[in-house]
Order: sequence, then C-alpha cells, then structure tokens
Amino acid sequence: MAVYARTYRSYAGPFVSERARLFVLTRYGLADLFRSKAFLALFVLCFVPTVVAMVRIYLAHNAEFLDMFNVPSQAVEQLLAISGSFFRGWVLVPAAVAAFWIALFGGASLVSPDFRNNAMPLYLARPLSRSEYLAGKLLALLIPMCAVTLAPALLLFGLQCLFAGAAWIGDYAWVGASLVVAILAWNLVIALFSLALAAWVKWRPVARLLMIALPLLASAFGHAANGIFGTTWGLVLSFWSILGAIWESLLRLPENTATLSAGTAWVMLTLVGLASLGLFYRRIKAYEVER
Amino acid sequence: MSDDRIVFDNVSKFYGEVLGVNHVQLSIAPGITGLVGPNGSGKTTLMNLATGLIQPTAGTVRVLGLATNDPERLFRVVGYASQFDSFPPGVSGRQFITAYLRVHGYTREEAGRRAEAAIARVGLSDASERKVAAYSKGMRQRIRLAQAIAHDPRVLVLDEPLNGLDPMARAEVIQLFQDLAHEGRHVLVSSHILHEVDLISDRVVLINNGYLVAEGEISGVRTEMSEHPVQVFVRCRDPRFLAARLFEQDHTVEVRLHDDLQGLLARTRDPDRFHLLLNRLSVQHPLGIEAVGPADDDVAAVYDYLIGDTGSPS
Repeated sequence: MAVYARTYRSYAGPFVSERARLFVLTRYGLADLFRSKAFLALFVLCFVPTVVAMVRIYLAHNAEFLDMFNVPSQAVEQLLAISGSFFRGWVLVPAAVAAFWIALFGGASLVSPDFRNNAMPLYLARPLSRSEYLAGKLLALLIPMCAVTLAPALLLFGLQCLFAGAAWIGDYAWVGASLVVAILAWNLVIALFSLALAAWVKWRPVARLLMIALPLLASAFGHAANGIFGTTWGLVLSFWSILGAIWESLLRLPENTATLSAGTAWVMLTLVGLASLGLFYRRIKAYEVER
Repeated sequence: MSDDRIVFDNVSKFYGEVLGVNHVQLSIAPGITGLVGPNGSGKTTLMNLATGLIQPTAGTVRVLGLATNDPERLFRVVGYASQFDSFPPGVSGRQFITAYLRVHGYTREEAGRRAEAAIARVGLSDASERKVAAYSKGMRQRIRLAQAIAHDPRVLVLDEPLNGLDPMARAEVIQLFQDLAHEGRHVLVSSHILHEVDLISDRVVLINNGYLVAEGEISGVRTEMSEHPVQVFVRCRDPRFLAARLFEQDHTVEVRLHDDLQGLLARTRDPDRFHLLLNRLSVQHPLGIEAVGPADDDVAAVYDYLIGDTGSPS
C-alpha cells in the first residue's frame, strides 16, 4: 500500500459569479455562429426589409420629396400611410421570417455538435446545471434573432415616432409594446423549437429539413382536417394562422383574415414553446441508456 | 477519514428496467484505482455516479465528503475525461481548455495561465495553437486529459485515458498519473488494457453485470481467491527433479516444464506448503534456483478467474 502525502495546494483565488458562467456558453456560441460566412450573410440580409421600411416611413412623411421626380405626392402619401397594417406587413412579417431563418441555421449549429459528439458529460462535469446549459445556448440564439427582429422593429417604431410627432405617440405608444411582445414571443418559441429539434435529431441538415417540413406538414394536415370536417380548428396547427391571429389582436386590426381567436392562438404558441422546452431539457443529460 | 475518500454506500442505479450497478459498497483511498470489467458491466455508470453526472437510485455517493448532487462544490474537486471525442468545432487546444475553465468560473487571466500549465503537463505545448480537429488520436486523448486536470482537481475520473496513445505517449501519461497520485490525488482509471491497469494501479475494482466482483490491491485479491490454485514460476537448473518432487505433493495441481528446460510453472492449492517444500529441496539438492515468483497475481489473471469469458474487458 503506497502512502501518498498531499503535496499540492488547491486554487484559493476568486471565481466569477455562478450566474455569469452561462454567458461563457453564449459567448462561445455566438462566436461559433458568426464564424460561418453563410450565417453572417443571412444575418446581414435580414436587415434589408428594415432599410426598405425606413425609406417607406421617410417617404410617408416627406411625400413632397417625390415632387422632384414628378410623382403625385398626394396619392403616394395615401398609399404610404403608416397604419397597423404597415407594422404587421413591414415589421412583424419580416421579423417573423428573419427569426425563422436565424433559428433554422443557428439552432442546429449551436447544439447538434454537442449531442452528436456526446459532449454533454463534458459540459455537465462543471459547475454548470442543465438549466444553465439551456439558458446559455438559448441566449446565443436569441441575441442574433433579436438583433434582426426586435432592434429593427424598435428602430422603425422610433423613426415613425420621430416623424409623426407627439400627438401620434400619445395615441399609438401601445404599438411599440405590441411589437415587442409579438416579436419576443415568436423568437422565444421558434428558438426553443429549433434547439429541441437539433438536440433530438443531432444531425444538422436533417434538423434543418425537419424544421421546415414539420410546420408545413402540420399546416397541410390542419387545412386538410378543415376541409374534411368543415371546421376551422385545423388552423391551430398552422404557425402562420397562429401568428396572424396574435398580431391582429396585438395591433388591434380588424379580424378580417384571422379565423382563430387570439386566446386560442396564444394557447397554441405557449404549448409549442413549452413542449419544445420540455423536449430540449429532457435531452440535456450526461448519459444515454442503450436498451 | 471518509473526507479523503470516494465512498459508495450500498449504491444501486437503475435506468428504468436496465441495471447499471447494484449494491456497490466501495471506499476508495487516494492513489491510482483501476476500474476493470467487460462491456456493459457498469464501469461508466460507476464513473458517472462518482462525478455526479447521474444520481443513484438507492444509496449514497460521497466524494471527499461532498454530496454528488452539489455540482458547485463537487466540480471544484473533481476532474473528468470522458472517452468521447467531444470537441467544439474549429477550436484550438488552448481555446478548448480555456473555454471549459471559464465555465468553471476562472477569470480570463487565470484560465489562460491554467490552460497553459495543463497543456504543458500533457506535453502538448507545441500543438496548443493548432485546431483540435487536426490532432491525432493520441493528441486528442492528451488534450482531454488536460481539460480534466486544468482546474487542479483532487479527484480525477478518467474513462479509457490510454486509448490511442503510442507507447511513448502512454509512458508519459502513466508517469503523469503516478505523479498526480503521489501528490495525494485520487486517480480513477478505466482501461481495457489489463497489464497496464496492473502496472499503474495501486488497487483495482473489478465489476461485472453491475455487481462488484472484487476490489483492493491485486495481490490481496488474488490471495483471497483460495478456490483458484496459485501459479508460481521457478527458474532453476534442474526443473525435472523439482517437478518430480512436486508431483508427490497432494496440493500440487499442475506442473509444466519450460520449453528451455530451465524452469517450470507450478499450480498449487497451498502456496505456503509449496514454498516450504521449495526451501527444503533447495537445501537438500543443488536445484540452482535463480528466481521464484507468482505467475497469476496480476489483473489479467484475477479478471480471468472472476469474470472469465463473460465478456471482453473494455
């Protein structure tokens, strides 16, 4: 029996706070994402609708500028009027599409390699909990998503406020809050959806394919059910119908397109989010049992 | 005393209906402990229990007195290297170590300093700036080891750490284990290379089908296996005479002469009487004994006796 004397001294210096550690995953996740030129190009591309919308807002408030080009400014002014429909069509729709694409590419890149390479034991053999892993990766995805959705939305709203003046702000300040709620809710749900898929599928291309295919299939199934049973409940399976109902409610638009109630739409969006969260969390474990 | 040990107290782990380990009672002292068993025997489960990556279904595991469900305190003293090639894409060896140290909560400067020291300790300083993806299997194994020791843990749990290493690297890594053990750390190593486990381990834990088969110093384990005759080799000038005398004893099970007729291998049920006889014969007859030693008190023999053909070691 060997006799071992303890001859080393453990580290006695300071550590960063527990909560700050999950941001290490976020930071490395972001670095991973932006190392890809394709992701960077997609990220930049997501700002194009914002630039166009900014021009539109400018023209809506400076129609006389068009006189220089012999364009009848009065007609254009009416055409370009900033309304609830503008915020839906020029802010929320591009934001939802951009968030989807960022989640499509980012989600799989962030977690698929970890699960494919059995890296979970390595992560969890640290002072890092499953929730912190989840939060770190989720943040790494939400940050670029919010950069291409929430930031442009607030910029456009701010620009409109700037041009429209105090009276408009007084009447429509709630629009800003509605935009934030609508965008954050969608970003969160679609980010969790993509992370859960990537965690279960592991292989990036398949995870991405499924992220496109599953909503399309669900929507097609819903529409088929509507046709067969003569109901509108099949719309609960369509992301687009859910979003449409939520946006119309938040922007106080006349309910001329949505056939789902806002309450039902919120319930469905919440369910998808919770199911994705549960599936993702369930996957974060250090071992797998081979049966 | 238990504050300096890894203690499994009647630990069982079931994955649903699948048995991981059952009724494991262990108290592991500082030094190198080899964990040996066939595929699916429960070695990784035991390691995961020691690192708190899974919690026992029944019983308790305490590492140096710490509960394994307290990662904040546990992973200050535990370092773990899995057998998997789990490296983030596109990172260099140094970035890999630094990133995990940052997750541990070290400041940037401290993490950098520790990464450098750990990389130097596994002999990868020259390759630290290269991408891990370009590393050979042996280099990957060593960088995995570096991430396990980088935060200076008192307990190291290493799953198949010698896999893929060339003989030179293997010798260096074994030396590293021995250095770490001599500093008073626990080094828990699983390996399928039995003679290496034998070479490096102060004690072994043999596990099969989720049950502990034996544990302790190999010679002690072997001594307790009285149902298996002990093998002894004898190098001498007159093995034929010795063989004839041995066959007269009721405790002798088998005697085989070496091909070069310069020795023999005997199996006996009573090693004490065997050695007594050998002493008496060497006085009475010029046997010319050059060497006497046990031939089956190594891990491979014990493994073979206790686990046998139930599976290949992994």
